[in-house]
Amino acid sequence: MAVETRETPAENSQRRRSQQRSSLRDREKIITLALGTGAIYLGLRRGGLLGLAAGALGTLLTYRGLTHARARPLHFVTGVTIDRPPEELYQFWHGFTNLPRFMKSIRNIQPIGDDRTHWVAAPAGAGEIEWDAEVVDDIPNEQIGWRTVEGSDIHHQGRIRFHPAPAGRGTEVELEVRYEPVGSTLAGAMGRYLNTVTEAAAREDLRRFKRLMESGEIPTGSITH
Amino acid sequence: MKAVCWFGTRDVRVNQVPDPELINPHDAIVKVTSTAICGSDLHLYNGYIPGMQEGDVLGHEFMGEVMEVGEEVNNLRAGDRVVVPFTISCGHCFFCKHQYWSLCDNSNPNSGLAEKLWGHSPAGLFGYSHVTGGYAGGQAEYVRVPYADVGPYKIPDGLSDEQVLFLTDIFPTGYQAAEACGIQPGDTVAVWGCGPVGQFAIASARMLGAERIIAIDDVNERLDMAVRHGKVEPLRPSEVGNTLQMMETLRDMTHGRGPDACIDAVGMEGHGVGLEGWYDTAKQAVMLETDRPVALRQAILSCRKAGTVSIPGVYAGLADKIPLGALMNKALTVKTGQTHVQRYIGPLIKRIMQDELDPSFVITHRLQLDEAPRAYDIFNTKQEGCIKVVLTP
Repeated sequence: MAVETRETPAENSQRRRSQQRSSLRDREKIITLALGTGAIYLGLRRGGLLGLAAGALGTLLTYRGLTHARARPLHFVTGVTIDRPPEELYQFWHGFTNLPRFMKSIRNIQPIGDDRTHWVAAPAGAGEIEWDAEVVDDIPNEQIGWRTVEGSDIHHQGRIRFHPAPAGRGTEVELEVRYEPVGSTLAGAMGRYLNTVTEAAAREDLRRFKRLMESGEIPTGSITH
Repeated sequence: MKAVCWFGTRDVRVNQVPDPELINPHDAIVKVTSTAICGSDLHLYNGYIPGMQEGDVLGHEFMGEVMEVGEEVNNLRAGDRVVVPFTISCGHCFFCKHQYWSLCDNSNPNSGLAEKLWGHSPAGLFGYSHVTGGYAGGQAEYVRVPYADVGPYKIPDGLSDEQVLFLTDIFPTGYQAAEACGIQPGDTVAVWGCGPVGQFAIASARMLGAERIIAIDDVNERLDMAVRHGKVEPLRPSEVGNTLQMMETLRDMTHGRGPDACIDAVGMEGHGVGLEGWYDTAKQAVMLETDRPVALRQAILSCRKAGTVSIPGVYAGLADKIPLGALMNKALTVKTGQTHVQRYIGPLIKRIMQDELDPSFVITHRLQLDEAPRAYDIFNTKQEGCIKVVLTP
């Protein structure tokens, strides 16, 4: 699956709404499961014809809840304007080794040859997860794309574009990321990692990128020590 | 070190906290020699600003001596005497480059919080809640100053702390508010609120050539100070009446025109008269509005057609019954914002050196840092003639 077309603002807001809907579906799923198991419990305790009916209904609801429980794909586009030229930002991204300086959940990125990099993510909490990615659609000073290679635990692809902002106002940076569904249960470090991959977190990373490029550091607050 | 810490509504304490250390390459550590309590600190004190946490170190008006600088700070060295703007600015973003220092894109690490409230984030501020960065403030013995290559201003020899301390905030804030009015010869300027920012707005309007200045406040000593130093015509809201009556009074005082410019130096904790006051207090109490915009309503309603409403007073959230019809149909200009302090320190320090103004005239109390809890109390309740407190660590 390739990241191809640029989203229009209308598509973007439509996608946001549909993601909100799927989180509603999650809630529906939980309620369905809860009702289902509740009805089975009632059915077992009560017995008789009514109990049998309750048990059957419960089984049906539980089945529905379980079969609808699966991870969904994640896709977002977000952006930031940075008051530096596109070439400088492109150079900073290129090679990927600078990214852990501003990407909160990425611990380390190492080049392993053939346009490939080895990524280590450390989600808040515990554990590390790793994958290899290869560069695709590399257009000097304009964009860099990457995608995970066969055999990785986690499948995702991303693309960053650097577009000159009007009237010398720096660079409009656009990040697009797509995670593919990974089975029905997400346990351990991988699940925790995926929980940290959100549009809001990506926007926060881009903001830290902006701060580093514009001001030379990422500011730190500290009211209480 | 000792520091003034916030613990809740009307609960500040002087506590021992760890000394600050250099964290980033553009940091400096400043030993505080003088610090002040700002009227906007009272909004924190009274619990109206969101995003405060127990133990937060307060204070954004401070000056002192540079102790230590980070590796990227080349313009300062240990021993330099500096005033520090309350706005933290990176110096390199679009806004800093355009002199909108208080709108710096980069200095607020918690800009996500600010965006939820306001859509976009202003600059980080010292000691002013986690919404504007969670930076430890200057009512302390030492402060970490981020982006120290951009903010701190070295003080020329021969000027005392009291002459320059208010360049950190209230003098530039009052000046920016008056400058925004675009004062023309013959103009009348009305100023709501004669606290320290109001006093400096008045003094600045005078310097910028206002013909008449009408000062509106109900606190005797503040009105007296404005009359004494700013030669204003005083007006007491309790004697004038409600918002409509205020508009009529100002209209009559200006022979039908209305003040050419109106400055709201009151902000979110205005006190309305009668029904209007009850209305805002009740709505604020049940969280249906966060701000009590009495002064702003009066300023908009009273202002001359095509005049300017300038708002240095702090507002935090939402407010009701703003006379938008008056704003639109009278073609008013609204000017507001946190102060772009770095823009003004140089020009204002010149005026101080040329004896055009001695900013220390607003000081009524000189206390030790240890006395901060009492200082907040008398400033908040306007006891003992308190208008401006300077604390020394």
